[in-house]
Amino acid sequence: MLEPLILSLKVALLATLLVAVVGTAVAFALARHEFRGKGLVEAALLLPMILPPTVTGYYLVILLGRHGFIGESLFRWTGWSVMFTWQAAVVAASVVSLPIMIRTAQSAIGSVDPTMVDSSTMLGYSWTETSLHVVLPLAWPGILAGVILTFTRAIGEFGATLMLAGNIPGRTATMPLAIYGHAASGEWRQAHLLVALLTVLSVTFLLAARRVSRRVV
Amino acid sequence: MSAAAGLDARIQHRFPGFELDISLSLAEGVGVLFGPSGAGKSVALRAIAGLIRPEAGHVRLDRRVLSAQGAKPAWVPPQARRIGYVFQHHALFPHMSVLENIVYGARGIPREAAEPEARRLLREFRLDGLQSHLPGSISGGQKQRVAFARALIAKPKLLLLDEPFSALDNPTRAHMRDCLARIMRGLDIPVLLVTHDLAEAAALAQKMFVCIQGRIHQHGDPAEIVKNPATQAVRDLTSCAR
Repeated sequence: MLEPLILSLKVALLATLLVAVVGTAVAFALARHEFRGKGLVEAALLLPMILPPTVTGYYLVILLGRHGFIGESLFRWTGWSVMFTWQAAVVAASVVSLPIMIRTAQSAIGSVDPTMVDSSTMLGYSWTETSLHVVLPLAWPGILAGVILTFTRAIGEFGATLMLAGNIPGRTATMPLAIYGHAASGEWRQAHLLVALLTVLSVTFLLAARRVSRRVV
Repeated sequence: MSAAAGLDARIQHRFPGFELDISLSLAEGVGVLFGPSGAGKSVALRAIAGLIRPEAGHVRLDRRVLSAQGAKPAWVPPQARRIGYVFQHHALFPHMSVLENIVYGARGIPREAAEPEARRLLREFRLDGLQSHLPGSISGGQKQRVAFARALIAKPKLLLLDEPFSALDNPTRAHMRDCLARIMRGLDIPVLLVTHDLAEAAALAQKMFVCIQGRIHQHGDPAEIVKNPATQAVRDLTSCAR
């Protein structure tokens, strides 16, 4: 019972950490810069949000599988394949939750009054310094809400994880996969417990995200 | 021929349906860019600051070329221009206290030197006791004085003010005008202020530039301009604003 919970927390925490850093950086670039093909880049980054997770997982297999575009080279150099490992669950959870982080952070960064940025610039600060000292603190509640939503999405990830990591008890079976496994084999008591636990966790984090995003600096 | 000290600028920039082409020079004292809304005054100020890049023209400050187009193009980014800028709605950082806002303006000055200087400015601008307040909890007039102190702490070479009184109510406005006139008289740098209020322009400026539809129609002593408008547009504007 504890194994899927610990694995889920480990996977979701690592995915959240990765997505928080990458997603915030991408959101900054998208919110503060105009460039050719921006619409296309935005659409590509948001694709995992609208695609069925199994399709996203399929793409990940094509990319990272033993004979995938990246996976083949990785296996040749290291002798290691990410497929059917707990790291694959982290990758799947990260890819699926990245659009949520980008959308939330981009909107928070974009809502910072541009005069604040101009004001900091006129006081002698570079774009990076202004981002760190002014934009980030002002957009922080939105970014934090994005981090919490990312965690919530990552801990509930199923389809892409199943495709890339499989459902190996004790190794890759996170809570959603364990629930599926228990239900498929008629172990309803364990399934009920895990469902209740995952629901409580998700609702708690969702409420936390709402509370944080409402906070006014 | 060497350019004069102070500000010397020509800004040319086209927008859809509007063309800005103004020249102005201000060696010292307070200059006012006066004109109706939509005349291009704030755009000109932003171009001098470097917040927008004009299509043609130049900006020189104390003989240093900040921007130029043509045979010898040059561009100094806004953060390296040493220009103080007070924005229309003050643009104080809401997550920083009054003291932190002012100290933030002292970029490049060590914290141990910046903080005493910020406290001195707090006293000078009659903001004592407000150092730990957040901008959201102080009045409009106080916000404006904080914005002034923040813009001045790093000792800029030029101070730009974009409609500095527009966000204030009438009694505060009159009080702040007197207060800022006193502060600006004590500065040894040129100050360029944008306004559409003739009373403000006349009260504060030694030199007025009348900007109408993207062009400077007349410049000189404010009282003289009101007395002898050079064009019908200036006459209409000054008589209407009185």
